[in-house]
Amino acid sequence: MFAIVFIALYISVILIGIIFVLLRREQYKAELGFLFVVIIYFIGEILYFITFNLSTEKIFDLSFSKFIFTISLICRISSTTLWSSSHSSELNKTNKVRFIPLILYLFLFGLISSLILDPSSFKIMISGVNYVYNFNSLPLLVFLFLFYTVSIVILWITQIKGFKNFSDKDLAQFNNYYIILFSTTTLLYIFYLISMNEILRILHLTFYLIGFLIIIYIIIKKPSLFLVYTNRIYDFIIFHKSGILLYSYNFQTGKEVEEKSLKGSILIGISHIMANLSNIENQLTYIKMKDKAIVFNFDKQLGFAVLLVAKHKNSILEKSINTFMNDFSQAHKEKLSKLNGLIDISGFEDAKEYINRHFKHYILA
Amino acid sequence: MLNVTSISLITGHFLFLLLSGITILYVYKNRKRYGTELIACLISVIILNSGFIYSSLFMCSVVFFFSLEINLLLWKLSIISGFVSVTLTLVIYYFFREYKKIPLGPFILLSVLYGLLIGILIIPNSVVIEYALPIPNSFTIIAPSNIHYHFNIVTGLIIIILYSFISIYFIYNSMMIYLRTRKRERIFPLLINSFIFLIPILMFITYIIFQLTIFRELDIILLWITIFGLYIMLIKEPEMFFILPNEIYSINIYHKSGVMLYSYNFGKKFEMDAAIWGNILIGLNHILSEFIDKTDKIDLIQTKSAEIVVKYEDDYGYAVVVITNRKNSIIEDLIKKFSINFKNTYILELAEIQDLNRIINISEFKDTKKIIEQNFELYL
Repeated sequence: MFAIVFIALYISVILIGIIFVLLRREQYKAELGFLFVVIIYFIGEILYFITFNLSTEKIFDLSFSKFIFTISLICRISSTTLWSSSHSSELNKTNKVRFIPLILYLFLFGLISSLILDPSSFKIMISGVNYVYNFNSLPLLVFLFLFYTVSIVILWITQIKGFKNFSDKDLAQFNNYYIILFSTTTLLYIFYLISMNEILRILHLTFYLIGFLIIIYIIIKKPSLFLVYTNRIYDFIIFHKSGILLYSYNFQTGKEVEEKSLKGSILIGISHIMANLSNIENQLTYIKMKDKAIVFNFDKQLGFAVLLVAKHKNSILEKSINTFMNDFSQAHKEKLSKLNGLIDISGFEDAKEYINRHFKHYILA
Repeated sequence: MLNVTSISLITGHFLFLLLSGITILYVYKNRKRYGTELIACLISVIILNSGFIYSSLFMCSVVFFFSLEINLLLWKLSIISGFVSVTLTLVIYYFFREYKKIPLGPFILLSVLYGLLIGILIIPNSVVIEYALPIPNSFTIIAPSNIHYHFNIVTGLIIIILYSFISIYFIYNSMMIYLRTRKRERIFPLLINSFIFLIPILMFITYIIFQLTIFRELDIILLWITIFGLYIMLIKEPEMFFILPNEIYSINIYHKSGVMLYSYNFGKKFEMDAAIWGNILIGLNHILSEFIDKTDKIDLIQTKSAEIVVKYEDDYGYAVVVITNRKNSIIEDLIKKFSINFKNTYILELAEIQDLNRIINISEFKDTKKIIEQNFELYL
């Protein structure tokens, strides 16, 4: 009975989320790999919720219910692995051990899967109007407990240590609330598996639904979620090959930076680079620093360059720079090809429009 | 009851223990010759695990009898320890290609397979022990052919998949190392060893499939022989670990004024004029000093066809710029060592040109070639 209500609510939430995302699809940009992980995560969660609900109701026969309960256990572990390891790898982008949690979760996933596949690891029983599952294998229960405890601990450590790495502090707060809910839901789930108490199951499912609603809300409210989770742009500068600053924009203040406010050393630096690099084949593309990255893009034909200071380089950022360069070149082709002698930079003020168009998710100010 | 096989295995085992001990001592004493201390440490762990732990667990489970439960436990532990050895060897092999980087894809799969293996070994009936004769007293030496371990289908399948995956990845890595290395003749023994390494693995798989104890004994004997070959290779050619598929195009040293103090070309094609990089470096530092925290120095510059590793020596006002096809930790370590040697050799000259008004006589640095040849010998 409860299962049908929960599944109906769940499907409604998913449908609302899908409709919103489809309607505003142009706002969602994500790296293909990340998008793939998100899709797999949602498939895992949906499968888990449906199979977990159905496995405890007397809808199917005993053996089929036991089978779908096994599926629910595996799906829950898979989606927790994906969510928790993505969280730690995103917040520890520069850390050499960012994938250690993933390796640990997968090891435990393999271990638990082996134990689950053993037919005698748990048995199904009838209790009133529901099915309940009794774990015969102590190692299975111990490793399930260990897996979920480890995932909660790692999530919290990563969240507390990596809080400063969030580009958007609202998103960081949302994440805090979600992790509180996730921890509660997971603890209720593991206590349910140990005790098979019906109240714990209903509480777990209720908290789970609330958590899922929050995820859907964040996806709708923050389309930039997939893009600027931790990345951040600091400065965007366009230079002519003569070393003249054509346009500069600061993403932190949200304001244009005038040439007079740029110190001489920058202009000297740009002159050095442009004089040495603008006409040669093997051009500079990227400079990696301890905490920042500088992405260069030269237009040899029109003799200008874009320099972007960001937290880290990624393919979306590079694509955005390329599309910006194309639009900017198209709009100012004539002006740029005739630039020599006294250079008038007033004609390049519309660069802000192109920045707004191509980098809008990064504008935080 | 003593028989020829038991005596041979016990003798072989003690001989192998002795050889492993000697090799560990040799690796420890000559650890600097193995590229980095991490590689030397990993090699020692592999020897310790395969030479002492795996071999001893294997011996204790097939030649000595304690009780059915203990022998079964030792056998299961020997399987796990065998896989740990092979995986660590795989890590070392991968370090030849990309130092200090663990390939995510293969290791994701390995983690799941390891989990599956350990999980299945926890299940009571995954491996069943059988003794052909009446059960002997505890702590006796037995004929290996009398003790037998039966794997159930799932356990056998998981072990076969795991070994097959490791073997394929081993061969793939060895081929890649061989194809990408400049000094192929020196890396050839490594390639041969990788192929020979497949034979004991194949023997173990055959044991699982046919459940004949002879394949199990052949597995350990062939493994000893293969590892013995590896020990010889480790002792004879420790520098092999330096011969990486990396290339260095040139090393340039720039004074803070932008003057190039020394430039060494490794004779490989690289289209950019070394002198340009001094100007570019100054330019970049000018820009970065305005936009970025002054303590945040350039770590790596990437161009379309090369990577430029920069090492600053702020106290002496110069920077070492190494142009390579791909940056890795070995190159970074070598740059660090080179920079210290350079600083120590030219400490007076560098102190004199701290004043930007002084004329820099770059001929004073002409002996830098010797320091470069000394530090980057294997990239020459």
